Amino acid sequence: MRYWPVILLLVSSALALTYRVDPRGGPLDLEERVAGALAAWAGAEGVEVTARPTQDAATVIGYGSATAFGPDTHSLTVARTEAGRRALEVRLNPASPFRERALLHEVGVLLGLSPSDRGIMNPRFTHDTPSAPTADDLNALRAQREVVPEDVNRDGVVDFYDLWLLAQSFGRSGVNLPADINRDGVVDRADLALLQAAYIFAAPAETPPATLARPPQTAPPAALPEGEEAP
Amino acid sequence: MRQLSLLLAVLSLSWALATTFTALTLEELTQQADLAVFGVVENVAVEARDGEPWTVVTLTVTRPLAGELGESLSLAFYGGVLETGLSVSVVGMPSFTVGAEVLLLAYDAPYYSPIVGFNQGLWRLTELGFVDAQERLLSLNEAGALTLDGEGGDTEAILTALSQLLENR
Repeated sequence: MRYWPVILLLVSSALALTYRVDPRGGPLDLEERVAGALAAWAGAEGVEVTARPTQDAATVIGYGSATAFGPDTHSLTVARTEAGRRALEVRLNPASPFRERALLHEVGVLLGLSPSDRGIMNPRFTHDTPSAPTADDLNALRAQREVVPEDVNRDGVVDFYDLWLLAQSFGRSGVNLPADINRDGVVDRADLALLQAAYIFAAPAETPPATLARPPQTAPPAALPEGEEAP
Repeated sequence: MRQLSLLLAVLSLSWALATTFTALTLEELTQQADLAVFGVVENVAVEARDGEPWTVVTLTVTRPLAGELGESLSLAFYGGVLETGLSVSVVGMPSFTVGAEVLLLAYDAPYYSPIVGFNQGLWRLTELGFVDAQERLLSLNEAGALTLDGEGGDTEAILTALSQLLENR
C-alpha cells in the first residue's frame, strides 16, 4: 500500500488546500493524472497553482469500486467524519469513459469552484462535455479570487441578499457551499459572524441581483443538513 | 410564481455538487430501469456493510410500474451515520423522509445509488407535482407525452403515461 500525497496551494489567495492521492483500485498513474488536471486549471491567467506532497492531508483523491458506481456515475465526493476528524474523499470510477473529465471537475471543486450548468463544472456529463476547462470555467476560477467570501451571491456588495442566502442554507453542510464563508464545511454562526462584520447596512435593492432572479440552475441537490437521516 | 422561482434560485445557490454522472433523457431513464415504482417511504435505517454505512430505504409499493415487485421495496444507498460515530455523506446522493411519496426508476443492483442516473430517476410528489433533483416537474405536454421539465399535470395521468412508456420498451 502506498499513498501519493500532494499539497495544492492556490497562491496569492486565502485558499490553501492539501491533498493526498491514493491510486489503489485503479490505474496507478493517478498521481500524474491529478498533476495534469491541476496543470489544466493552472492555465488561467492570474491563477497560480502549486502542488507538493504531504502526509496528513484530510482530502484524498482516489478510486471507488468500479462495480458499485453503476453505468451512470463517474465520480463521488464523500464527506467523512470519524472520531471527530473531517475528511473529504474524491472517488473516481476507474471504469468510467469520463474519468479524466470527472477528475477535472473534481479538481475544480477542490479549488473552490461551485458547479455550474456549463463547461467542465457541469456535473451532468454529456458527450458535449469539454475535455478541458473552458474559458467560462477559468473565468469563474479567476473571479473567485476577486470576490470576498462574505459576498455570498458574488454581486460585488455584502448586503441583505447575502444574509438571505446564508439564512436559507443555515445548518447545511457540504462542499463549497456559497454561504460557508469560513470554508469549514458547515454554514453556522461562525459564518454569520463573518458576514455581520462585513455587512454594508443599507436598504435592499428593489429588485434582487441577477444571481437570485435567474431561473433555477440545472444542478441537482446535494449538501445535506448535518444529521439528516438519509445518505 | 415569481416568489417560487426566487426560492428555487436561492436553493440552487445553496447546493453544491461535485459528484458527476451522465445526464439522461427520460427515454434513457426508462430504458435502463429494472424497477419502477410509485410508493411511500415507510422506513429509513442505517446499517454497516463492511464497516461502511449504508442507508436502507423501505417503500410501501403504492403502484408497481415495472419489474418484479412485492408489497414493499428496499433500496440501499451508500452513506449515513453509524452508532460508532462514523458519518459518511455523499454529495448529491438522494435523501428520503419517512412518509414521503416518491416515484422512482431504479437498478436491481447494489450500486452506491441504485437510482437510474444516480439521482435523476427519482421524483418526489409535492403540491406542485412530481419534482426531480433539479426541481423540474415531470409533466405531460400538450401532445400528451411525458417530459422531464414542464408545468406538471394530473398525477394519475402522469403515472399512466409513465407506465405505458415502460411497457413499450
